[in-house]
Amino acid sequence: MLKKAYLSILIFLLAILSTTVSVFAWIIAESSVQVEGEEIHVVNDYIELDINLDIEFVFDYINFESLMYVQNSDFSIDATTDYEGYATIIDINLKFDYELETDVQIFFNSTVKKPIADECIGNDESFLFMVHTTRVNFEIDNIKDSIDETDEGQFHREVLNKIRNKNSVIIEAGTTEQTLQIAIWGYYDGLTEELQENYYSLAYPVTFTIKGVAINEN
Amino acid sequence: MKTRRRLTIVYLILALVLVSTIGVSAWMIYKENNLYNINLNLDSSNVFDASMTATINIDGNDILLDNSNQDYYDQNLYTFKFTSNNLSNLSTINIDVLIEAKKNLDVRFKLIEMWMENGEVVANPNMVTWHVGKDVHLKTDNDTFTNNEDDIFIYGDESILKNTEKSFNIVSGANIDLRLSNYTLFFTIQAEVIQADYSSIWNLNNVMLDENGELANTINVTNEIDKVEIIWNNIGITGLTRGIFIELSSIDNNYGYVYNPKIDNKIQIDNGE
Repeated sequence: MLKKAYLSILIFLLAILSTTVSVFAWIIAESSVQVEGEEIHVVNDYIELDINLDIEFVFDYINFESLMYVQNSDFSIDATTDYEGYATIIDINLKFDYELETDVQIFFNSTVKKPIADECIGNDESFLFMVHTTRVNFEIDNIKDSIDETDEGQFHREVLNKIRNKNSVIIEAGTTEQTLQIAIWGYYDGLTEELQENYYSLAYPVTFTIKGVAINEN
Repeated sequence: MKTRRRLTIVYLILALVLVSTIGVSAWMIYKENNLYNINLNLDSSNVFDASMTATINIDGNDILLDNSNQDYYDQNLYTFKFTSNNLSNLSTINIDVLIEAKKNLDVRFKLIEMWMENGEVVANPNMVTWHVGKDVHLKTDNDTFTNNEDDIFIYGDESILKNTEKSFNIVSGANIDLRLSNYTLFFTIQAEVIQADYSSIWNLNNVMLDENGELANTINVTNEIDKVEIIWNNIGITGLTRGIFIELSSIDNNYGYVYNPKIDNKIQIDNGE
């Protein structure tokens, strides 16, 4: 009888183990990257990334107090806006424990906190950013050059779309360290009429979600 | 036997609970840590820093006017102060303002005057004519101005580029008319910035006038009115309630009023204005 009891305990323990392992295995197979604390593990390729914000003190919310706005006229065909001159630029340093064995695409997604009661908080539609591995001033000009200049309205919508899609960078295999820059603007025409009246006093509590995806070599 | 069967069932249930708990927590932990988050808070509360250096010259000596100089500074209103006894010293005034720009900016300045007589704010008596400094210009391109008109702004000649600083000489002397005694002048400089490619709207804007070119928010002063309430909406930063400047204008007169929550100044406006 005692044997049976031991046996049953052993079976249960095995069951626990196998279920746990299978759940973990399933998760690892599902996602190409996991992040723990300040490290990114690219599991498929056994690569680890350290993300360090290039800022001396890191609090819960890091403050940047000189947000400036652009508007549709800044994305018109003839606009000569100095986009970098109005951008808030944040440096993020990625460190790899050893050379990347494959290209990795790092995605950034932003979410503006929803306001509670009368909080003066901007909206997702009026928050613009681009991610780069190099300086940004010429990037929007490049985008503009690639768009057909026949319809003004269509033109600025396409520029905006392309900026919104410029939310990732590819880091090449062999890299051990890479600095990324996020360039941020407020977008006046993305505000509701009510928010436009107070755009200068709006705050944007933003969470950037960063995700890395290994790109397998062909 | 029955006891052992029961024990086995209990073991089974316990094991199931354990397995599910561990499985679900493992899933949750990995789900939570699957993405890396950075929290930022962005606003437009500090697109520039400004600092002012003001001096007067008495008998060949430069005297710095700063907040420790109690002869010439009012620590409640955060303004310079010249009484009728020392107003003549204002003729050698020199004011420089240093602007540190966090983004590409254009800047304009307003020289704010508040005049008091016997503890009441009175209309600007136009006793001071200011000389426009060398790094700025008026809309009219005149070399001097008095604050008896609405919307006298002093415009910086050049834009300031992101992450640079620039010093502007705003005022370089003044003509003083000492015809009235018992008057005290309080003054300071207000700096206002706009992103560099939008400064053309300053050519259109007259804050006192509405879209038809007439005085906005007009009120006829009668004997019945003894109190006018001005309500600000959407001021979320407490510091903004420090040193708010209110400008009241009539056809003939201009009243400057520096609001301070600590001081209850009265303003004297004549009946009929």
